[in-house]
Amino acid sequence: MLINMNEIEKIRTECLAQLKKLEREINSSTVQLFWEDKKRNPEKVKKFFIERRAIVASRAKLENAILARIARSLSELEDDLKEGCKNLQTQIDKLDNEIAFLNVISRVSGILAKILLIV
Amino acid sequence: MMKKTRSVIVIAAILAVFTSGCRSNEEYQRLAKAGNSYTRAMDSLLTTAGQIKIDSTSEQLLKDDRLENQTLDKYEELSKLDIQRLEILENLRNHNRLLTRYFTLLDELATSNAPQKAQQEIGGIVDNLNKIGTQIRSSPLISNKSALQSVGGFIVNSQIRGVLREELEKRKDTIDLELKTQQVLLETLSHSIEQDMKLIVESQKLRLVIRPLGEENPIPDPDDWIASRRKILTMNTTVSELEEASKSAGKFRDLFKDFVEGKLNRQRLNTLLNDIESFITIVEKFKNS
Repeated sequence: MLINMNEIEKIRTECLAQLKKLEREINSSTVQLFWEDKKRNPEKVKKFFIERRAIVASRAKLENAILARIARSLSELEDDLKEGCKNLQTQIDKLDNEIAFLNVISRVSGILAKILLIV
Repeated sequence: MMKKTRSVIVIAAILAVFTSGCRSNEEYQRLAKAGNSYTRAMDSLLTTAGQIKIDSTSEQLLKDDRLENQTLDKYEELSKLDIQRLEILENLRNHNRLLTRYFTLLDELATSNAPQKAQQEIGGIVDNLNKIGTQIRSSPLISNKSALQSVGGFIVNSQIRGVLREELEKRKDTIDLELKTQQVLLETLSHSIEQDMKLIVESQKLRLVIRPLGEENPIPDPDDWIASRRKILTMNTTVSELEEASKSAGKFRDLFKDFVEGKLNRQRLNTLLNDIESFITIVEKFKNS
């Protein structure tokens, strides 16, 4: 059976929410102080550390994957955005050219007026 | 001949109005300003998200070290994920700079002083032509200088509006998709920051508030301890503010869509600008905490 992208997204979001909740619980001060107690069995402490580390790393990996996917989606739009920037820059330059053209006409007509005054 | 020229100018001005749409340059300026504020907020959020992630991992490593001595491999296991995160965030910032450039160019065009410059140059041309006319036939060639200047400025203004309208019309789907994707990004980042901040608060509470209290000796600097405790306890308020603020910033997409469809009013735009400014303030607060 095929699972569509929305369902995958939903599963990923739910999984992330559960990981976050668990990560907060196992990082609470109470839990930390419990495992820091010298009376605890060192093997069990080590096991707790390994499992906690796995959860912390999993959350970071999952978030990195989501963010990387978003970055990929956004980069697909870059060509069109660049084209938009190019178009706007061209129009700004075109306006500058129009003003420059008017300036040339103004200067030429000014010279003509001066020549006529002399003649 | 003069009458004919004037009619052509008036027709050109009317055509320019109809082809440029109804929005004023000021409205385009406000949209461009909102776009720039939005991309500035995103940049700030992306930078802050990286810093908070690093701090969260540092606190985690310190906590882990109390349970199991940390080796280079164990350190790298988490640190490489931070580096990976920073690279992704940097890619997103680079992309965001492109969107910033787009809105900056929109703003540059909307705030262009070309219409005023055109009026000025036309004024100069008219003066010169009138001097020539006076020399040749003892009367000025153009009698109504200011009307010609106004029409000239008007045409350039309409030309700018036309370009802005066409550009937004052409790019509306891309920008909508961009902002839609950024809404997901905003949500993901604010949730990630929220989680990291909660973990930092819990770790700092233990490290800076509870542990010193458990020491046999009294706290050496009580004022520092009090200040740290206050800072840590009030961090949670900022965390809840972030989610609300990021939702407001995400409304920029609706605003953009409404603007293109001509349904946007100035009040909504101003409200959103205020929301984005508050959002930036909250993100900056995180950065400095």
